[in-house]
Amino acid sequence: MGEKKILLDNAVNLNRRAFLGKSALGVGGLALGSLLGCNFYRKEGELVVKENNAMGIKGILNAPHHSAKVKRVIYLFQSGGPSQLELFDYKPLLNERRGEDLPESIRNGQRLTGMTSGQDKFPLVGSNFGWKQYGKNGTWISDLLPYMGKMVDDICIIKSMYTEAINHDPAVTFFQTGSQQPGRPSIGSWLSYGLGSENENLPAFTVLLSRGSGRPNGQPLYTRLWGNGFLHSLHQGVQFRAAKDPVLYLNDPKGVSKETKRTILDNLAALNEKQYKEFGDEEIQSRIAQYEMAYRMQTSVPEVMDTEKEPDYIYKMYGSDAKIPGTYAANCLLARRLAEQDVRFIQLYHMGWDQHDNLPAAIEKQAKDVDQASAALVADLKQRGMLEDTLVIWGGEFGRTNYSQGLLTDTNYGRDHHPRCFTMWLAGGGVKPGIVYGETDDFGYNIVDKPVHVHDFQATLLHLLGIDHERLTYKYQGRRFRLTDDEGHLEKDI
Amino acid sequence: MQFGNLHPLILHLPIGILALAFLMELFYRKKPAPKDNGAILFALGISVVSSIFAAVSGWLLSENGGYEEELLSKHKWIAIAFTLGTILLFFLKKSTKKWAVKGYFPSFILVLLLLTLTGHYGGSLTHGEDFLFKKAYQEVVIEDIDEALVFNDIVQPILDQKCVSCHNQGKAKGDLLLTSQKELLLGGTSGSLLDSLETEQKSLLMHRIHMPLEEEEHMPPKGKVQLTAEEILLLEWWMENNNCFDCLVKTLPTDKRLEPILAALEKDTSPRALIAEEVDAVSEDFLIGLNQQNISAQKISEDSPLLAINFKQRKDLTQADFALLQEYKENIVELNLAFTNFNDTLITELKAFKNLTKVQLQHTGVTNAVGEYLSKLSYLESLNLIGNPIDDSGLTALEGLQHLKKLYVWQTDVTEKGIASIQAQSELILVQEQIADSIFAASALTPPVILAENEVFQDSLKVSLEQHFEGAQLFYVLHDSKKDTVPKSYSKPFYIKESTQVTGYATHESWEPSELVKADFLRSNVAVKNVALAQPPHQKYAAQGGKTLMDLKRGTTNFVDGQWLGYEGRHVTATIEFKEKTEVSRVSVGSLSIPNSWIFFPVGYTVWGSSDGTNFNRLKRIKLPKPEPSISVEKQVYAIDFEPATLKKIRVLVESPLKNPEWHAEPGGNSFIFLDEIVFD
Repeated sequence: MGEKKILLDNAVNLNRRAFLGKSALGVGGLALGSLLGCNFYRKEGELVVKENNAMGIKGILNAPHHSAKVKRVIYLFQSGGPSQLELFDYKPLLNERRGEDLPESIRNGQRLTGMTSGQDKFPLVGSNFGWKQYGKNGTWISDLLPYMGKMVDDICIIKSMYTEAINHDPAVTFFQTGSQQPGRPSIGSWLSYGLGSENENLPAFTVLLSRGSGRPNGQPLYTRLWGNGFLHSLHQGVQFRAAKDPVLYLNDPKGVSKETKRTILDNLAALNEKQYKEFGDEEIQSRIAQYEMAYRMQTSVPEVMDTEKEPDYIYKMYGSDAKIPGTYAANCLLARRLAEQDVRFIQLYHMGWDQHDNLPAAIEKQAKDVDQASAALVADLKQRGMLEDTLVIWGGEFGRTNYSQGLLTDTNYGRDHHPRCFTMWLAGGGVKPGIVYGETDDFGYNIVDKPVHVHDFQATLLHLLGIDHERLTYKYQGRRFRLTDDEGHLEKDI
Repeated sequence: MQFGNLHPLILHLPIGILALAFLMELFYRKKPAPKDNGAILFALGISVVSSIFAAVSGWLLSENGGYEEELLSKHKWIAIAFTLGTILLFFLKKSTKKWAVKGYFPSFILVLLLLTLTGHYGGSLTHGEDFLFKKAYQEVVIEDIDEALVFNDIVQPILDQKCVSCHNQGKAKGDLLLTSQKELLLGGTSGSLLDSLETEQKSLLMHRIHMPLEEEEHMPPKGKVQLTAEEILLLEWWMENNNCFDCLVKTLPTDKRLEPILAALEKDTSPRALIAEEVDAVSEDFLIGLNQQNISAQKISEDSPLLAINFKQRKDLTQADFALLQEYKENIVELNLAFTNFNDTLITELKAFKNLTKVQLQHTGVTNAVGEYLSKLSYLESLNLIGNPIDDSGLTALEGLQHLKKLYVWQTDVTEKGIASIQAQSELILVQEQIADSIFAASALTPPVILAENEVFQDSLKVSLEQHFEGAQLFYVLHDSKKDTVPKSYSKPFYIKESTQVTGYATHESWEPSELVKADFLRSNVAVKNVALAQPPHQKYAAQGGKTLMDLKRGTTNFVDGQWLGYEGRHVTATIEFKEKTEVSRVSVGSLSIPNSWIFFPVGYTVWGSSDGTNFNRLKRIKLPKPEPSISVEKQVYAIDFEPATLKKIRVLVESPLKNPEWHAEPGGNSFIFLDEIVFD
């Protein structure tokens, strides 16, 4: 059995490891391998790309593990760590005891960031803003969020979220990928891998960014937050920008007609196909599929991004900011349009919640950025009958401390990062509307009822999409990885 | 470890080897001589040895007890007979006597029969007597949870599923049987199962269940299927209510945690569950075929026969597309026709799909005529009619639908009356229209942005207003020496020629006017020749040196933007030489305050003037209080007015607080002042 034979055996998808493994078993193993054909080595379920033809990306699951409550997700990520104490978690005790030192019995050894570890006093501080009760259950919502208050009967507020990370990047990465270390696929990629796309003209995972007015020069975000990790690059999130080219490098260069482009693609696909037959590398298939997708996106993306024809009353709902491309409000409106096109996972990032100092002034602006548009998105989906099978998520990577970072004055204070408790809300299919889940102590520092870990949140999110988080796995470097790592359990009561 | 525990391992050897011997025997029967009897004899020999080991280990294991005696004795004695049989077989094979050769094969059959029997009884001992022919576990179907018996319908089924495999008549571990109420009350060798233990407030049952999994005594043992959290809650609930054997669910108190668990036990009588029982499973080929025809067909879940069909907003649907679905038309529970060309010519196609529970028809153009077909969908739960020319008479057809829960009628001609009429028939129907205008009606416009090249200018400055909102009208007011406060409509950029505050706002029909925006512009009408700084600024914040103060550019709140001169722990004196003698009555100094970054506003200003360029007179001195506690980031322009004087040079001393104030996080540290611009008037 010479070199030639080994080359031919690329049909069985030899990678380095398999090759070495089989060499060790002897050449007999090789012969047996080719007799049995490639299916012997790869289970159907382990294929990376399934029939990526003109019909778009097929999920690895033929059907959801159980019947899904929602078909798509809009994740309004509030980057920087919004202060739960100014927005959702009403703690009058902090106002009563303003300026007093945080009792050690409450802090209980919580690690601090480098930004407050030098502080010798931790003066408690309550919200500078008023609170009102809204909805059937009289839920307390801050005066900073009047619109969300009015939609409170449609959302499920979780006050008892907690995380393990205390700094931005690890915390955001943890939320998006289930691991604080970069390198794992993010939620949207897992969904694209598991469930595939319902619309062959748009990616299953899209990302929209906006800068907040609370802290315009806030933390940057990295594209790896919507990366596919070790999953196939087809499942990567595609960023839609608020510019002339919403998706970079999508448009044809000047002078290239649609027909020319088609011919180029067809010939390229033929060459790639030939290459694939020879080497059997799945990435080649993926490349063909990506070219095709990009070609179709040349028409589908401008259609989705064209919000001009949205009627005036829709702009009134989302607020006039929605007219300004690149704002959070405009992105919320786009998110709805993408959802209408059955895009599986629409991820918004709104930056600027990292208010270490000057919090009252900053959060007031920041809340104004998001309040009306977030509420409008829920309302708009509801009136379109889409809230039934769409999940809307609002929340950041951690919360903020109940004490002031730096000096506490009569009107001003700041808050540091706080991983032990923070608030998120969910709305839509499968989620109980109008409830508040979990509770924190009177100091707003620790959780006293129904803690929800980030992995629990991820498991619940997958569950709502019909996926058992323990069964959507991908084998990489000899280990089966999943979004929730080896943890996470369902929160059935939300 | 005891030798007896090896019984389950050893017993498989004689089974396998004897079977091998028998197969070899069959194989060689047809072959011509000489027969290879050596190998068969060898195999039989091994069978003998392993049978003896198996018998001995089995005997030892049986001493441990816990097995049903009658079964055990059958197993034991047949096994012994079998062992003897293998020995006999070995010698028959070895012998060449005629009777031995003749009797060998029938004996082999007999021994195999014994093997089968002893194997069967052995299996019954460990897996339970009904293991082989056991019917699949019969789930208890609870039609109405309130009327269910707590013990018979809830507790016993849990025991049957998780406990009875080891605690039955055949295999009674710990002499405990859990197959019925009577036996449960009897308990086992460890005593009563249900009475509270002396040492703790729990019964033995709860004690064993709640022990850590690693404990030997934890039940069910590690490795067996464990009780779920819900099952444990149900057992606890039953125990707390004095393990009542004939109570109904409704007679016992429940709480919030139990209610959903109990509700989940009730038979699922939702339309989808009922349909799923009736229809056949769908072939994968069918689904793949549909997907190739650009119809998305998905099973509701991997083990459900139900299908959701999505026509993906196609505008080219024909009857042929619906014909593709005929094979499994009854499996289809969801039909998404939104934004397709599904119009009145195609509505008859709906007839075939009688099991639909969710239909999406938004923006298709169907009219009232669709009502007739929808009214036949007796399982329909959710219906989306948004954006179609349908009115109240279209809805009347839906009034007979028992299961309808959600109905979306936004952007149709349906009136309040029509909605009231269908809601009168069933309160369960939620009719969704446009979300109340009241929530979002008072939407205000975003304020315009006031744009100009610089905040400080020399002769005149072009100012423009910008707003993204198409059709919005912009207004502005110039607060200058003319004192004209009537807002002017903005159409194109305008010029200002003196220090001015510009305010602006936007309006649009039916929108609330925007908030006011403000911008201050300073005119510096003195031509400067040179700026000399008596002290060099901090090397990190040196910007362009003295020129920075005259470059007409304000700094931002970002103090490293290159527009700020920073001084650490010292005052600053700047001497400015004018190109020619100029009359000056005001000096304005721009500064920054970021207490967290140790930057404070100045605490004093002194201005000297010189008309000849060498001798200076003091024109003004201002002392300001020390900075108040604050962490706000602020910029200011401080104006110092004095008697007009014609000057060639002017000198300004800006006083720093020098040290961080007492209230600061780092009191006594060297504080900074930051200056960006000095303007004369």
